[in-house]
Amino acid sequence: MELLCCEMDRVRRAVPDANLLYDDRILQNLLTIEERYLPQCSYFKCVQKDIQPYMRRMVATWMLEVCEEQKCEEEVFPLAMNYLDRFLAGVPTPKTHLQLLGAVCMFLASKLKETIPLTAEKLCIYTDNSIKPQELLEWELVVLGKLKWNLAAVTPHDFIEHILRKLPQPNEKLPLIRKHAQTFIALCATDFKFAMYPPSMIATGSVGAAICGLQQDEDVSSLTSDALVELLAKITNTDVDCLKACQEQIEVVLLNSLQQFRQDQGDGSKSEDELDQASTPTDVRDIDL
Amino acid sequence: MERLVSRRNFPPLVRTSACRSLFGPVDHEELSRELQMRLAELTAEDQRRWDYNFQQDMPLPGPGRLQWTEVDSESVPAFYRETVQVGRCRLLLAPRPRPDGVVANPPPGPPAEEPLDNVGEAPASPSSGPAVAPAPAPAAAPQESAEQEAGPPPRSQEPVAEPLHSGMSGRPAPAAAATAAAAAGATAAAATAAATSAAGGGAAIKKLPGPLISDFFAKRKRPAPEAKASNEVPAGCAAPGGGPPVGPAEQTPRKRLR
Repeated sequence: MELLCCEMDRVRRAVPDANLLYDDRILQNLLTIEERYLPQCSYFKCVQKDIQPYMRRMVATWMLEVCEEQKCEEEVFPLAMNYLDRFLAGVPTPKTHLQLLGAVCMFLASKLKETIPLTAEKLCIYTDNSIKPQELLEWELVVLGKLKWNLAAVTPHDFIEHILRKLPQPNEKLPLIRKHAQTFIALCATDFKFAMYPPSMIATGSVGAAICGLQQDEDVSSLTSDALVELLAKITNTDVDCLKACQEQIEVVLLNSLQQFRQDQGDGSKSEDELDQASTPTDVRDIDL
Repeated sequence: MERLVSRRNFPPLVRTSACRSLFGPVDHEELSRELQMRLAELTAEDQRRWDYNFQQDMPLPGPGRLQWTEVDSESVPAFYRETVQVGRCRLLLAPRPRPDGVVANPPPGPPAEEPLDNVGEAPASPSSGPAVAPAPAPAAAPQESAEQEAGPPPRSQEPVAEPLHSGMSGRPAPAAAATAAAAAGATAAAATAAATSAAGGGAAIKKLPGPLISDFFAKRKRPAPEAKASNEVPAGCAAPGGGPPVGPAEQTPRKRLR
């Protein structure tokens, strides 16, 4: 019986490693190297001729849906978007190849982060079979080459635990804050204006937005929102004004996404159950600003 | 499709709304052309970055950023040596023990002309042996004992170059080869025989020149690219002029982490 229970788990997880999470040197190293993994330019202006910002949003939304349906690890989606942006910052790509690129990026990110990665076949089915597994594999090599095999990019998720442990929040609130922050990170990854922001800023802004959002319902934080922003800014060496701006942008994106969600809800496209099972929480609807 | 899906353990295929083609049908031929173009870009980039022609498995002739030095295959960890895949097993090819003639003079510091030497020698032996890899001509020689005879003479006439290729010690004059092969016997035979016979080869004796395969890997292993000047960009860093595509800023982060 117990064995059966174990088999229910999709993934066996290691316990959190205090050496990795509670050592300040790790945070400092992450802050030092994170900029290296940012896309080199705002590519819609200087590289891409065919691809428009709304197309990036389309492919990002699709990738997020796939990651949710497949219950991917939280980091897979933002990491895949990082690959996509870095690739597009260097390689002019026709829009008809964009979905293939998105699939390849998920394929790579999933292989890097997951115990049981997405398969090429699955991903092809998600493109409605518009691409073949063979093509996915061939392009995998191209993407790897163009990224110079630097796949272990820093993502906002890398900062979450480092930030959370320095906040004076009651422990029982942390899971909810974490979950909301993760949702915001995913939201940011779908929006191009965050693509050039350092991951630490997105992480800090997301945690800030999560706490502010939750604060309205219940007593989550003992800090005023100004004091909170200052504390957050200090943790990741971010400029306070930048951080505020980032947090506001996140809240705007959240509002837009909520509106979008309500529209979709009107169409009755997804059932509540489906959404709740997804590991990347889409429960932005729980949050009222 | 249904079968494929169930075989892959796809969660009961509800064809969800996420299964969709975003930007219309893909032109597979165009995609394939683009693929070839991008791969060619990457190849050119790699070649520039390493001063090495990976297709022919040869260092570039010209004076470049890097200077390649050949090393004895036995001097590198097993990890770097040529292996052969037999079914599910990976076998390490035994390096051929050095024949007497070559053992006498230990390999000196490799002169700078080494890469040029290689290139000059290239036409000497017939190029073949694609079975293992698209190898440069000299490295291809060991594939067949017939070629072995074609290969060595020019080499043995060059006393200076000989020790250079001590990793290729299996490239003595034909006569020496016979004795060497015999001497090689005990150690090399075990591994190579295993490899060759498993590889579906015929008589072990005929394949005993098999150690010559080690020529091949010795030849192609040039694992230690050396920066020409110590102040130059170390190998592994993005080339200064880096490939334009993803930009020079895509560099190996490890460099600074350590």
